Amino acid sequence: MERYRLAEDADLISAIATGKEDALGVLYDRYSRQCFSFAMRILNVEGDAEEAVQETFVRVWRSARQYDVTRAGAISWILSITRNLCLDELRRRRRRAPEMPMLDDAPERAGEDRTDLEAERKIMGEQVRAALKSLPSEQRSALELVYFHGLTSQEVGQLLSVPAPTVRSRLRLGLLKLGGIMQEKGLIAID
Amino acid sequence: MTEHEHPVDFLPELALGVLPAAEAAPIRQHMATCQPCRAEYEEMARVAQLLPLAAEEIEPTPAARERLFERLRDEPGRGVVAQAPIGGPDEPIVVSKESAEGKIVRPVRWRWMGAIAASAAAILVGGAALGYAFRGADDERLKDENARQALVVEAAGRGDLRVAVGVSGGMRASVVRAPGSKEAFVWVEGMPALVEGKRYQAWFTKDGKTFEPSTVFANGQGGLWLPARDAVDSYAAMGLTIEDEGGATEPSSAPFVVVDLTKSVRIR
Repeated sequence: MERYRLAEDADLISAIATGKEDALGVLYDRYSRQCFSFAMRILNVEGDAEEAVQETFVRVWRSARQYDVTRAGAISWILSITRNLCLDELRRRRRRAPEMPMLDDAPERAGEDRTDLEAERKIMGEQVRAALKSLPSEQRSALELVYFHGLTSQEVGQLLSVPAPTVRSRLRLGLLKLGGIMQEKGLIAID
Repeated sequence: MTEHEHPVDFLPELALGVLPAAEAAPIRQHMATCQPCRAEYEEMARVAQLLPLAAEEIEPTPAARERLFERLRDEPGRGVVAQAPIGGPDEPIVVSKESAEGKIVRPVRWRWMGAIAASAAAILVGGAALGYAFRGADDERLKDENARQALVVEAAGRGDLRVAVGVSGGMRASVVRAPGSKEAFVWVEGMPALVEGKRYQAWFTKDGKTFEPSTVFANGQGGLWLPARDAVDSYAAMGLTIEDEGGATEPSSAPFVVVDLTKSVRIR
């Protein structure tokens, strides 16, 4: 596994596509925490989140040949798989027992030793969370319900008793405001 | 939507990935020629990409990692690594999982029958595969694609097309055929990773004991045509295995996906 430790993500995925389990192990070690955190944020149940992460990496294993580095960074690709799986699980839960999505943050746990990259990611995470918290509550709720719970504007509107166009307007204002904050903090570059 | 109507209210849902494809299509079309909308969407998409970071970092348990690799051990395609080792000559070349572990390999036909039975429970039927039937395919054997598509289109026009779907894990194969035709169109997705020198191969069987080889192909996602010796209607199942590049005359293992052709439904 050592030979892959310093490999670029795209090279890892190429190696996975040729059946190299060690490469998958390195990719898992690199991103499973981020995937799990993301899954927990959406599902809020540890067992379900672990299952989503496992399924994510099984799909990476199966679909590595289809990964197109020019279309998305590896972590974006992996997290999009995680998100789709989590939203599917949420939909299954809603069919079983409709419930009000929770907007509270997932519980925080002490992290282990971090590499520089992980520390940087943690700082970015704090900045993103701070940016989200700085939004007016109605914009933040709309964004969280749509992004982390996979609801449409129509569904959010029903939940919050406001018309769907109002939800869309809140989403737009919220995203544009977040974009401005993230640009100020150097998290994204706006053309 | 006219060129003067800017769908700005729908851009957030598109960027956040919750807009249904049917609603997304005209918006993407609009953005192709509308720079302001495109710029706003791209900004929102960049923001959306960072949203996963808003989750507090939590470590999965070490047992989760172990379970993942345990599960991969049962994945089809695993252990058929025949590629020159990247790491040097000390890396073992495993020809097959079973032979490497010294397990007794049961006769293929019994494993096929089991797989067919297991697959029958997971058969999904529906019209969704029809949409796949008209997408492009890249197999070398697709020389008369237009004529073949015409046959399918003609059958579709008569309401005679039949589809059967086999699923296994995240893998899926949808077989579309016209009555009496000696060819079927199959759309595959989520197939296991291939190593160098290996290919997928399709097989038809009438009894689960004898197998007729069909197309050998490389793409784990896409569509291709499967020629058969007899009318496809006369076969009980189609299965996919992983074989050497040139294809095989007998399947070397149980299929990782089986489509039960007796459970087809008509597409109207």
